[in-house]
Amino acid sequence: MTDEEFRLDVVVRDGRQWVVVHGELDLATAPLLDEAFADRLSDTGPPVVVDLERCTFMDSSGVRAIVRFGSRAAREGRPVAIVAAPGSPSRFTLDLLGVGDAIPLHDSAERLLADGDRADSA
Amino acid sequence: MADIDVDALLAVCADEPIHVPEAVQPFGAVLLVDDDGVVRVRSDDPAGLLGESAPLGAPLAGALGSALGARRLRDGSVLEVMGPDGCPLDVVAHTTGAGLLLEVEEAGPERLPADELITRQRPLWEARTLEQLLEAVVVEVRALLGFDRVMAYRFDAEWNGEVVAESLAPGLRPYRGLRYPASDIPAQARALYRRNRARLIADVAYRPSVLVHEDPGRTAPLDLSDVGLRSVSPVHLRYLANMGVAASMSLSLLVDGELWGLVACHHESGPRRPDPSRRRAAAAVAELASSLIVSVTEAEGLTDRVLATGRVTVLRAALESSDDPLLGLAGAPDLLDLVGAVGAVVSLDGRVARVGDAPAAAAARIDVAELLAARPSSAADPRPAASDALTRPHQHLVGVLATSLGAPDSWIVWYRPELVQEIRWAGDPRSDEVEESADGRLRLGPRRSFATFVESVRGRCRPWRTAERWAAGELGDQLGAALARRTRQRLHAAQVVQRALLLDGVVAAAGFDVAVRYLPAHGDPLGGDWHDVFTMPDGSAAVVVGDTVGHGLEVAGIMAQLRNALRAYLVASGDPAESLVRVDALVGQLLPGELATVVACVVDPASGRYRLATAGHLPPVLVGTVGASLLEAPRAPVLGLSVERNGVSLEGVLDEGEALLLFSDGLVERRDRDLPSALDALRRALVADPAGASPEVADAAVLCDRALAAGTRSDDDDVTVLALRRPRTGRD
Repeated sequence: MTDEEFRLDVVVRDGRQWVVVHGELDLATAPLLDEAFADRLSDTGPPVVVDLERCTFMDSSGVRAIVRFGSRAAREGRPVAIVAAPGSPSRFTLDLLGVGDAIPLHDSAERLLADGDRADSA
Repeated sequence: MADIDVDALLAVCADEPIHVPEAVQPFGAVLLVDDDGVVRVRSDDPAGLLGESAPLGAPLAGALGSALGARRLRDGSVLEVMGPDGCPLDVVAHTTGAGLLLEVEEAGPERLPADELITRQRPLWEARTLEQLLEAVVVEVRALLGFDRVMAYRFDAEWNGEVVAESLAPGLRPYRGLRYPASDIPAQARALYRRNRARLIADVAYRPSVLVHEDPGRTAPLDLSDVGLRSVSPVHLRYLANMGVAASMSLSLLVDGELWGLVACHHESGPRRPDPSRRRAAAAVAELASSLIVSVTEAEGLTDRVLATGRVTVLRAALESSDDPLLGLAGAPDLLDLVGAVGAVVSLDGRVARVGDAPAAAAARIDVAELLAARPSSAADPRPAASDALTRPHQHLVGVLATSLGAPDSWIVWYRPELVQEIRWAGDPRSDEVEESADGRLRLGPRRSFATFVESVRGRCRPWRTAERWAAGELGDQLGAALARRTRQRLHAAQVVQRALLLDGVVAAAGFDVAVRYLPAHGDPLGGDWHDVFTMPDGSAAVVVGDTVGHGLEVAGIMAQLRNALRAYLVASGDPAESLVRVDALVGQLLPGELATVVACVVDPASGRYRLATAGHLPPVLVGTVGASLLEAPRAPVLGLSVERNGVSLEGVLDEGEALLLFSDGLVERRDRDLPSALDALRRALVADPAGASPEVADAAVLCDRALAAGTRSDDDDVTVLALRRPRTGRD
């Protein structure tokens, strides 16, 4: 099955908390992402980035977990961003569902940092 | 000693015919008296107990003879008679096929007072735990017999014994906690201990009194199994002597007819012969202890079960009350406490959660498969399986206990770490010496040193107790029942909802050929898909396919609300994009956090003009006579995202003979294939005419079936396909 490959890492780097998703994000694994998000909301750490570059599959339950987290964080005034490579399975789903309209979507971690720095200096 | 097979010698030791030694210990005498009262066999009588009263080949004389004549003795009868020199004698009778067998010894001044046995038994009745009971036994037996050391000795499954309670004279080295290997008490000795429950060796240095037969051709060697005076194996005597024991007595502790343990009494300061009345009282104490072991153990087991039952109830509630049974169960602290584990892996229908210190799910799955498959019965059998020492451990996790939950791929496996155990043997158990006996055969001599030998046992966990296995099985039963009930409830609810959402009404729209196919996901009759087909007030056909994120009962209500809201807005506005803007607002207000994708289309049957809008949904396919293409409506996000959306529909014309195919992503979404190529394959399958004969677009029902055949669907999502074909005027 798919659960062996699934893993979540939370890394604090470059002034952000990166929630890095490995493997397949689906009905079985999305609850674990929900838990990781709940932990992020309960502390007052730096801005959260959901990094999907290593996510090999994402279905709508994964999207829902991310969207719910994004809207809760937005209500608390805490910025959230997503990183997903163009052409990747998760990016296709995110684009189809129009998630980028609600949560800033970046092509890579480097692009996010570059865009973020420009926004900071602006 | 390298080329000597110790196990074979142990077997020789086990063959020694210790029940027919043809000799007795010299502190008493044995007589066989036939039915005519004539003495046919008697032992030497070095103590002179019998005097001239029992000559071979003549009737018993003296007080003994009179006593025998006066009473009809039964097996086990005890009587006291006056001996030839004025000393009282204690006589025990045994009935045998050859006549009456009498054991005679001196009744000393240490006769047991009449009420003392009751006093000695009382502390046993008061014991509440096994530990207290065995403590009481050794104290009371020592008080009765006056030995230097009295030990309670318990056998394990391999018949190694461990000293679990001890009472001893001041200054002696305690043996509590020491173990004795199984070979110390060979199988035939254990058989004898079951039969003959109290045995005294008054002086390990005794010279055996040989049995003398009046006519060896007439009387067979005597079976002394039941005789307390029986002479014992010289190996056993040397064993005791090597241990520094001068006199010993052992009392059997039997549970369910099997030897559970022994009360072993040692006297180190010299020979000792407690009065026969006291030995019988000690035997009675041991017998009471035997029966109390059962009840005390049962009472302890009952306490364990009551505790476990409470925890099982809590865990079942955690599963039943949680939206996600897997997380509910995995998050309950009682899951590990129930069986005293450090970690666990839970699988419900193949979804896996790890708790505490446990190996990866894949490794746990292998453990479970091996453990549960090793049992004779089926995999659905909730009886747990356990191992204290895995052949392939996960680092320090060596112990494993698994139970099935009665459903496919549903189980719990618990883990325990290695417990490095120090076993303190009374002497190195493999150091027994080999010696040659009188008949030239090799046999095993007892070891000479009993200095404590510490053996370190690795790779095993603390053993899984019976109560813990029981608890695991009970949990398997209870959770299995809860899961089955949940499945039944969901199936029933699913049928109701499907009837309401998917199958109600006629799938028809005036002026069009319409067909719908719905396939549930494997093992989940209620997915998130829904659809709608109806005729609008102006005569237009409306077709809708939606997909709500999530599945099961929790989304059924959401599906119903979305479907009805969209129908109402379509009727009111006539425009799909505008209707979706309104439904989105409704979701934001009434169903925050829910997401749904939708494709909706309104088609005029007279002109073929259509308006189409999507929200996060895959585009429909327009199937024409020359090809099929994806109808990319202006992209709009999924419903529930609470973002600004553009309310513009895609407009176009569906020519006569053309068809639209709406579908949910279950049709094309698969983990090992990318979506664009799957959509392309679908598009080509819809135009392909297998016969190559007709240029016409197939019927709606055929289009649905071709779509399902071409789709790359996997079993883990539900699938909806809806086809709407505009017939050619005057032809269809």
